[in-house]
Parts: sequence; structure tokens; C-alpha cells
Amino acid sequence: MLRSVSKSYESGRGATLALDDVSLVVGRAQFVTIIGPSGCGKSTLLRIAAGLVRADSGEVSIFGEDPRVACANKHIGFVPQSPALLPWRTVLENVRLPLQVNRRATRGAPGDAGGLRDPADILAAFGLGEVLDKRPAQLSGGMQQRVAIARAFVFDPAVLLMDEPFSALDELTREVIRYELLDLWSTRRTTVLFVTHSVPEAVALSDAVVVMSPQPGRVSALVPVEIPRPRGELVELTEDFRAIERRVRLELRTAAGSGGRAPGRGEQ
Amino acid sequence: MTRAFRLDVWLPPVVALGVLVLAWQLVAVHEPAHAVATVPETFFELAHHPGLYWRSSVVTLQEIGVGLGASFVVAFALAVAMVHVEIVERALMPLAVALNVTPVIAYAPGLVLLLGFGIAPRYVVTAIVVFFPFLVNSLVGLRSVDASALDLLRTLHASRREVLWRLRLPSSLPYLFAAARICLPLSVVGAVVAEFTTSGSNAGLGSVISSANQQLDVPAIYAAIIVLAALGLVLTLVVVLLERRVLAWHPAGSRPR
Ligand SMILES: Nc1ncnc2c1ncn2[C@@H]1O[C@H](COP(=O)(O)OP(=O)(O)OP(=O)(O)O)[C@@H](O)[C@H]1O
Ligand SMILES: [Mg+2]
Repeated sequence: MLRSVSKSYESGRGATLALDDVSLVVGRAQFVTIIGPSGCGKSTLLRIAAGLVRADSGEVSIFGEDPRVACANKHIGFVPQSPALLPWRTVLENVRLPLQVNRRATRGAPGDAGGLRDPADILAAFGLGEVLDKRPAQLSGGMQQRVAIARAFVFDPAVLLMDEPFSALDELTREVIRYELLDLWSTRRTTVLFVTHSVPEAVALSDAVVVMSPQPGRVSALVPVEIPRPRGELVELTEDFRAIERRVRLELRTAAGSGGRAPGRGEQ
Repeated sequence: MTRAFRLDVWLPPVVALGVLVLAWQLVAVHEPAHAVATVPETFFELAHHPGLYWRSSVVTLQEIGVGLGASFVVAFALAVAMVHVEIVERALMPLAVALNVTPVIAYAPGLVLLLGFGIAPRYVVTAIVVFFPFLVNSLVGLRSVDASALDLLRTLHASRREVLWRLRLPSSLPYLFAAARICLPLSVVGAVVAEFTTSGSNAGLGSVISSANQQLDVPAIYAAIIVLAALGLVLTLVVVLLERRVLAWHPAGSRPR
């Protein structure tokens, strides 16, 4: 998907090299998680894949399409860190939003196998059937985040890009939502690129965990997660899970330690 | 609903109003030069010429309505243009600021000379007075969109028009209502000032005050002031009620009922 992508941000005191020659391939129907210390360029990577930011160099393709073209064809589902629900719309209206804009690109007709699904059905499947007509302000943080995820699934995008969607939630809610997301995902098998700070979250969700190192942002390791699906909460108690979790933590530590000074980054 | 009938809601403002009226009466009675109309004099004046005050109110209301409405439409359209085309803002904002810092009193007579003594200069003066607050609030409102929501719409390849209608416009509503609350009293000032300088034809409440002033008809002055105050209060109430309906989703719109 990404081949030798670099991106630097200009700022007052010279440029920050946010991504340095990052390459990453995500296969169809794969769930890949990016993990790394704060500031290593995870959000930047996701924003480049979403076409929100242009890379300075390198190639980005969403299954053969330029990110902007993929956006125009509504192939990209983006879940930002905050739920970003529109407060004047009800839950149901919020989930319908992606179907209402850029209608030309909305694929298929309701009921089509690959096409969109009834927003109310998705919400019901996500345990939100009771709150369809409430406004976001009336929901808990966890419910708001569920609505944001339902909104990304509703138009059946080819790729889901999720930037720490659970970071504002408490630990308990996080663990519950984690497996709800897996359930929903298993019925769709959308390709997912998921950013997180939580090691157990990364291991529980993914087919592969990408570990990034900071300054400059680089991919420092790729840890495959070969745990059979479907996975439930109990998976976190297995020895396999623990072993992979330990490995990711180790890689993270080396990544943080090896983070040398970027050549382009001016010292104060 | 029940709130409207509760004593602790209605009593304080009523008592305060009563104290104010009492104080007014005391000043009027004890003031030797008879420069202040007493409360009974004022209300006799109102009762004896209801037609005059009704017609004047309608004229002033019309000036406020047209001036405010036209100003809002132009200011909002301009703000939309400024949000989308930066050069429009850079070109026109300084002019808008200059217009805003120039006192109405200074240019109102000039506008009357230019546009004649009819109602047209009153519309224009009223519109100019409220233009800047409308413009600035529209601009801030249209820009105060949630960055993540904007990102989301971008990844959906929403057109500028879709972003405007589905995100910017609703986001700006709280700011537009705040502007309306500021602009309403300002527009009354604008209308009255314009009438001061154009008194004679088609009298509004401001014209009533200025001609009563020349004839030293003190009760008429006070009667017109009372009607102006009532007019302003009713208009403000309309805006507040409208805001509660439209902004039910917004914290500012859903204060205790
Ligand atoms: N818009 C921007 N302008 C300038 N610099 C930026 C901008 N966005 C990010 N950066 C810089 O790029 C680097 C990577 O930022 P990025 O947000 O991608 O990190 P991250 O891995 O997502 O961090 P976090 O885990 O805290 O979200 C940081 O050094 C940051 O300061
Ligand atoms: Mg980030």
C-alpha cells in the first residue's frame, strides 16, 4: 500500500521528518495495527493513506488507486480519534451522513451483497438499537465511539483507517468495544489499518502488528499475529497471546531506544 | 411549561420593574423644571394617541426588519465567500472594519442627503450598523467546525457545497444567534438615529421623539421611549425563543426550561 513514503513538516525551527522511507503492505481483508511511541508518525501515516496529507515522496496506493481517487470513490472509511459526531444530528442521521454526501460514488443498492446496509441494522448489531433517535450529547463516550465506527462501516468501504479510536475510553469499555469491533469486522472482512497505543489491543485485533520508531518515523518491526479467529475475550489469557504481547513490547522498547536523531531535524 | 406560571420566575423581574416605575414617578414629581413626564402623563399620552404610536412602531419595526434582514443576507453571503476565497477576505475585511469604526451619527446625515428624506436611508443606516457584527460572527461560525468532522467529510470527498450545508452552516448557528442578540438592539439604535436625521416624512418612533423634543412635549417623548423599549424586548424574546427551538442540540440553546 505504501512504498518508501517520506514526509516532513516545515516549522519555525526547520523541518521535522515525520516519516522516513516507510513502506507497508496490507493485504486485502487483513487487520493490521500500527503501534509506536508518541510522535513517531502514526497519525501522519494514516492521514497520508486517507489522502488528507500529501507525502513528500514515495508511492501510496489503495488497492491500485491514489488515495484521493479512493476517497472520490468512497473506498476509504476514516475513524478519527474523537468520534466527530455532528451534535445536531441524531445517532441514526449521523450514521447516514456518509450515504448522503458524494452520492454519485455510493455503491450498490440496499440489499446488495457488497453494497450498503441499512444504517439502523448496523446500529442495532452494535447494541445501539435503542438510541437511534438520541443526540450524541445524550450518549456515553463509549456509545459515541460505537456510533463513529458504525458510521465508517455503513457504506462498506474497501479500507478502514482508524486512528486510536478507543484512546478516550476507559479501560473496561475499551476491552468490550475491542471485541465488538472484531465481531462486526468478521462479518465484513474489510481491510483495516488501525493505530493504537495499547499492546493488548494491537495483538487481540490484528493479523500483524507494525512497530514504529520515532524521530524519524520508521517501521522498525513487523510482528505477525498467528492466533486463530474468531477471537473472544478469553484469547488474552492464552500462552500464545502472552508470547506475542511480550514480543511486541520488546520490539517497542528497542524501537524507542534506537530512535536516533534525524539528520533533517535541527537541534536547538 | 409549568415554569411560565411559577412565582419565583415571574416575581423578581415584576418587582424590579415596579421599583423602577416608582423611582421614575418620584423623580418626575420632585423635579422642579418638569423635564420628566410622570407615569400617569406618559400613559395618558399613549392612551390618547394609540394610532400614532402604533403607526410609528410599525414604521420603525419595518426599518429594523428590512435593515437587519438585508444586512444579514449580505454579511452571511460575504462570509461564505471569505471562507472559500481568501483573497475576498483580505480585500474587503479592512473596508468592513473601517465602516464599523466610523460612528453612525457621523455618516447618517450624509446618507440622508444622498438618498433623500424617505425611508431608504433609514434602511441603509440600520443595515450598516449591524453589518459588522453579523459579518464577523458568520465568519467565526463558519470556521468553527470540528477538525475531525471536516477530515471525515474530506475522506468522503464531500463537495464544498456539501461541507457548507452539512457542516459549516449548522456549526455557525450558535454564532449567528449570538450575533442576532447583539444586532437587535444595535438595529434599534440605527433606526432611531436614522429617523432623528430624517424626521418629517413617514414618522417612526425616533421621529416622534425628535419632533416632540422640538415642541417640548415631554409626555410624548417618554411615551415613545416606552414603546421603543417594549419593541426591543419583544424582538429579543422572539430571538431567544427561536434560538431555543433551533439550537435544542446546543448547550446554549437548552438552558433550563
Ligand atoms: N500539522 C503538523 N505540522 C507540523 N508538524 C506536525 C504536524 N503533524 C504532525 N507533526 C509532527 O510530526 C511528527 C509525527 O506526528 P504524528 O501526529 O504523526 O505522530 P503520532 O505517532 O500520531 O503521535 P501520537 O501517538 O501522539 O498521536 C511529530 O513530531 C509532530 O510534531
Ligand atoms: Mg496520532
